[in-house]
Amino acid sequence: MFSALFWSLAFLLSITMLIVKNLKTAILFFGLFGTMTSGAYMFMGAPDVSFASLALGAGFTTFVFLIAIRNTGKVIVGYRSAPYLIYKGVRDELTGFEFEILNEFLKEENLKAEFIEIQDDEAFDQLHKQCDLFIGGIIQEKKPEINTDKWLYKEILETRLLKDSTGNLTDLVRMKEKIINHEAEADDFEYIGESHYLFLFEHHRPEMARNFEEYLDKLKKTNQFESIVRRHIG
Amino acid sequence: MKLNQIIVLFILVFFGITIIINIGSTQFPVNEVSYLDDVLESNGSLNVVTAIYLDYRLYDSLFEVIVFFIAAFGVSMVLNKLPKSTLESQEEIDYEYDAVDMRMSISGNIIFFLSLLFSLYIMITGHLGPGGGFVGGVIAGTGLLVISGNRDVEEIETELKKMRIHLIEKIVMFFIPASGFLGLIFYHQGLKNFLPAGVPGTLFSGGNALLFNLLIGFKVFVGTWTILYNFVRHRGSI
Repeated sequence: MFSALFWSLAFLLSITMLIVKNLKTAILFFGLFGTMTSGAYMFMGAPDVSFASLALGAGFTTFVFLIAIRNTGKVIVGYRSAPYLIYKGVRDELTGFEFEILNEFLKEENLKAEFIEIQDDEAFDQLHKQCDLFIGGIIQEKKPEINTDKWLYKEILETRLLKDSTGNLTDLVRMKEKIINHEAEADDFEYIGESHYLFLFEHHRPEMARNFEEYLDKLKKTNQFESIVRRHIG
Repeated sequence: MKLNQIIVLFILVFFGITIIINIGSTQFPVNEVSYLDDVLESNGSLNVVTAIYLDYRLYDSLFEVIVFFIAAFGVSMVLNKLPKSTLESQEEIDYEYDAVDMRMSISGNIIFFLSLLFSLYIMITGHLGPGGGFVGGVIAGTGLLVISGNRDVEEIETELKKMRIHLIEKIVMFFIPASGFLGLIFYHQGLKNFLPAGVPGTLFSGGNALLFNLLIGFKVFVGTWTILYNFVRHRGSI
């Protein structure tokens, strides 16, 4: 009687395990499934098997699976190449300040990232369909404007808005690059105001945006944030 | 080949040949013995399951232990060749462990000691009630992982290595088959229950059950910990 109850619960749990989307939840259901079979064995008069089922099915295997699912999630990151923030360095590997911050964050969240380079500025509004995240020296004041219904944005670093000799808006890192490449002089730029570089999160991922904000706050409390800034931007 | 490899090979061949000869000359009883009828007189365990797997079918359990040993050994051998988890740099670990929840750091230790106590209890009373070495070992090994919530797994492993736990594990691994030979020497029967049956229901009863449960429990504990430690090491923390 009792064992039948436990078996049917175990059967229901096994179906739930297949249905749930979240892997961690599925593993917790697996642990519960081990507990239920353990109860069933107990009432069938096999306490030894029941103990083994509890220790292995609910304890050991759950831990092994929890360790095994690290680095399973995947995030698609769109980026626009920006000097010092995210760009292709030697051997075509991505590097830069924003890239490093994002990488550290994704490592903490056990997520893997796939980077896609976006060059077309105009297609910006359509991007939220293919990317979970968009980075690369984005400033709010600069066009194209960010649709706040589609994107959640988080400020990561202060910068200054500048106007160059042809009247285009630009910012600190792009100015620095032009000066270093001798394309422009420091006097050509006119100071307009303060702004921030942004990370854009797709509006279906508010949880990730919140976690990122927490992560950034933690990072800023230690010296790590400053050291990354110093290493990449100076 | 090195000298110690030759010695190990020699010991294995010796064990193998002796076991094969011993089995070849043994008359297996056919439908004569009913274990359930005289288990209290011949073995002394209240738990018939323990009596079967640690006395009548010790040969099976022996290979079960060996299989577990090889599994743990294989995991540590394969994973040692792979690169370590990228979370290993000291800076990040310090940072990570600063953020551990207070509740976790307090309850982790308590849960570990409770699970250790419980596992010892079911190892010791394996022949009196349900339980036994395998289950006890798994519980203790998994419980040890719980304190990795507030301590680094590397630190735990270093302390275990200081206690020479892996050497003791190998000695125990050697002792379990060797005890079969004690029976062969004293009673002319391999894998014999050489300790007295005792009064059923008391702690020192059931012949070898108490000894073997503790040995197997220790063995499985170290094996479980080795597997979990290696996984954690190459995957980062839980």
